Amino acid sequence: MSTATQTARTSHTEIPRTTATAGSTGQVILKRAAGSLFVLWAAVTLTFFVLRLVPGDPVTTILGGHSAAPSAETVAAVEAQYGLDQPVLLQYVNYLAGLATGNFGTSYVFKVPVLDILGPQILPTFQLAGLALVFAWAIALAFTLLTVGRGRVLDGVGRGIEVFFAALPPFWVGIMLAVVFAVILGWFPVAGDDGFKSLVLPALALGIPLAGFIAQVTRSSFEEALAQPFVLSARARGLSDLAVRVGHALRHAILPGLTLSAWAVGSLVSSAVVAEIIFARPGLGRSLVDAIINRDLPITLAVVFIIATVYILVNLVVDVLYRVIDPRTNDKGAGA
Amino acid sequence: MTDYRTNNDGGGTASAVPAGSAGEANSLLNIEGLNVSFATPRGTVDVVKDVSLALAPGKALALVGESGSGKTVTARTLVGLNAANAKVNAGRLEVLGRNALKLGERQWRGLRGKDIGYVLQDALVSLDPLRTVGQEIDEALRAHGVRGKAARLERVHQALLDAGIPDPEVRAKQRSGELSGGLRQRALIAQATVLNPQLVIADEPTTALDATVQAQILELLAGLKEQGRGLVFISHDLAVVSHLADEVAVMQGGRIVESGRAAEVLSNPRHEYTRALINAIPTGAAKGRRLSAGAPVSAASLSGSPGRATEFSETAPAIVARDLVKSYPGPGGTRRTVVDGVSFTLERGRTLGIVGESGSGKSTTARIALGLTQPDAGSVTLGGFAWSGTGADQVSEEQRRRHRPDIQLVNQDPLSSFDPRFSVGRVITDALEAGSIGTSGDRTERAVTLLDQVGLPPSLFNRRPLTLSGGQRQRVAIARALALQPRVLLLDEPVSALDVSIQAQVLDLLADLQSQLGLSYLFISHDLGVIHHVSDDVLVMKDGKVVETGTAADIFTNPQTDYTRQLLAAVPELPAREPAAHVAAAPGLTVKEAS
Repeated sequence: MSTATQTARTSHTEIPRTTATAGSTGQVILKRAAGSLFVLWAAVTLTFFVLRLVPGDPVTTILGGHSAAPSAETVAAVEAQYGLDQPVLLQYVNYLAGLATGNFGTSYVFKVPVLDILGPQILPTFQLAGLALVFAWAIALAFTLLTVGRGRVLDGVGRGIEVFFAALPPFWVGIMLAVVFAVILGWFPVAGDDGFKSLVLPALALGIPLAGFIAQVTRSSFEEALAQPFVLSARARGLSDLAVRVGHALRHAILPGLTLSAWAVGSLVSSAVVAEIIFARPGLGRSLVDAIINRDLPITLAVVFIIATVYILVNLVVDVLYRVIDPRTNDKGAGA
Repeated sequence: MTDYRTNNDGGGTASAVPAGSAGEANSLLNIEGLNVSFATPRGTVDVVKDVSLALAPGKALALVGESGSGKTVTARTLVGLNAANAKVNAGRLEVLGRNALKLGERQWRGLRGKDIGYVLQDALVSLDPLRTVGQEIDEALRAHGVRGKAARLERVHQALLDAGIPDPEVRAKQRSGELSGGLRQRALIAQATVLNPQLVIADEPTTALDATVQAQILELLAGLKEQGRGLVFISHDLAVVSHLADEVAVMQGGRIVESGRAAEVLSNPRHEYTRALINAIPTGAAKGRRLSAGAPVSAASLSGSPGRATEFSETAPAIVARDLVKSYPGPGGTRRTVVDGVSFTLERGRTLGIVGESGSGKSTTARIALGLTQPDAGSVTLGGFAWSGTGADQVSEEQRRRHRPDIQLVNQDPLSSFDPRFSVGRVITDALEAGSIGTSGDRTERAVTLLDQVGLPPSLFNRRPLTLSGGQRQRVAIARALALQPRVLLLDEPVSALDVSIQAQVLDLLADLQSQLGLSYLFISHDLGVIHHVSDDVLVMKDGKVVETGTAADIFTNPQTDYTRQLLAAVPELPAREPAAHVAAAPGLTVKEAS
């Protein structure tokens, strides 16, 4: 028993394990900005050409599907209107030039500018993803603070529930939540977009499985932190158990969860479609699915662009938060 | 046991420790028959058995013994901070006059930090690495209801000053990782003593510190004692104990096997275990003498390994390093010179000790000698052939590779140099395979022979390194280094993480291997006792430069530079090795001039 603390001595002394970029804040922002532009360009380029490879003709889509049977003149006119008669490379350059001026093109299906369609969808999806993340962290932290290192029974229960949560598919959680809290209990609306109340169930549907993931990584780093000598030092200063957990161990424990969140937010935006469909909410996810099914390339490209932007911005925020929580990140590379 | 619960401590209390203060009203500790056991899935483990201690204000009590002897558990019992599965019972457990057996968590919290300060070993991990030391100290004040932000800040600064940190306003804003080892340890002491506790408990407060820093910390702890506080400290370094402790309790297997006045116990040990601990201390006086009781490695076990073809010269020195320079980019476009004109010669079959404090360039010199770091200037020859150089003399890694088996490394922390998924046997056969030694069929046999050479039984072959003790791991690391039949071993702090008795065994093993295999050792250590014991020649380094070099006898008996004298003065020595009166008369430190 007395040697247990001695074996686990090194891990927190070394340079923190982090995905955060090294360097001073200014350098980081420059590096990140350059990297972000590259990522956006790569995402758009890849999507642009992959979608061109998919069999089928955009003109058919524009003219309302195969049943339309348009004349050759109509096809030529449409091709000219949408620039589809130009070589693919030129279309690509034109598209990039449009993006640079904020022009995402015109929807093939709705025949209106893409932003007119997507604009109203962006906010609901961000609200949904944001609240889902808040729920996920609240649940994960509650589990960590209440069950880690609180005896074998509580620890086991906490661990078990986390695995269960992480294994839940969001669509099933969504349906169950809708049945129990909307249909049977009537606490929340079954569907629609009607303020905060209608946001709770879909956010939970996405947040609960994510909470399982975050809690799992938080739990193990929390356990590790609790075994560190500095926690013993804090207790020896007369701190209460809760103060040690919140004031010391938690700060160490949320770092890996934070890294995970950067991935989670981006994936929440794209996986929001499940909750949006079950709860009949507007959102980017729905628009993306509809656009893919209808082969509406400009909308598909725009959604990919938005999701890529979200990924980049969230990673930037996480990078900054990481530095605030773990100031050692800034020191990296200072020693020989 | 005596009666279980009584407040009547006016009656003559029989204490196992002749502290003379056991029954006094102001006694800080009065413990009789303390037992601590842990409930584990495999049953109850008794860690502390029938321990009795007493401590008066202004006195220091040392708990001595190797890891696993129950020292730390005993110390933690005194602050009520044992693990949740610990069961404590005692005939009497009085801490600061209170019956600690009856203290609830809330009452313990009131004592911790305020009346009892607890100082852990390594400040780098014992202070929260994400927070500034000022925040850590402030936390103790807040936990005990000290109000007023400005008032608290002033006390934080005062605590840092009291702990010997000169510019507290700056240091309070730094994190433990940004401070030097000495400042960090001082900050750790500051956070435990900011509320002026009557009782200070320190668990290995100076282990892993450089000699001069250790001396300063000992002085600081002695100062606490002079202020009338009681000090309980744990150490495996008996020399440290002799300088600080008034009383000593030697623990083995959870029991106190010997206790009494420090000077007496250390100069006239009665128990066999205490004697073994004292004998195990490497010093110049113990040079060439075996430190442990174990039998030497038999020469027979070393025969039978056919010599590897090597160009290693039988006449040239093992290593000749000339004017090595290495610098690294520092902050703001500057360059930090880490190694600055270092030259040395390691003669065949001898040991060259390199000693210096952290940051003196020892490790970089070692990496250049290993051919892992390219020097900016200078050259190295290994066994007569060019090994490292610059410009026209540059040696490519390809040229070096076939000579690599001739020089092998043993680290301070062998565990991190083993693949955790490998068994002990695999660790060694892997090395054999890398050196193309033996056939795939007989490598297992060779590995068993190598284990035997380093005094390990074949039964360890299938064990994971993680399940071995520190001493066994270091033996495996030595066996792996020997697998390639090297001519030179680079030993980088090979015993610094080991208990004194295990350290003794490993040092003896290294001495045996050297005499039987004719190995040359480049031995790096911050411990001057170890260096004195093992070295034929010594290189003293400071700030990347060689301060002094010579035979061990010359350096240690007739140092030529102030720095070496200062280093030597900082080494606490056992009274037993000198006339006992010398230290016993002056419990303060003889090293005060050093810092």
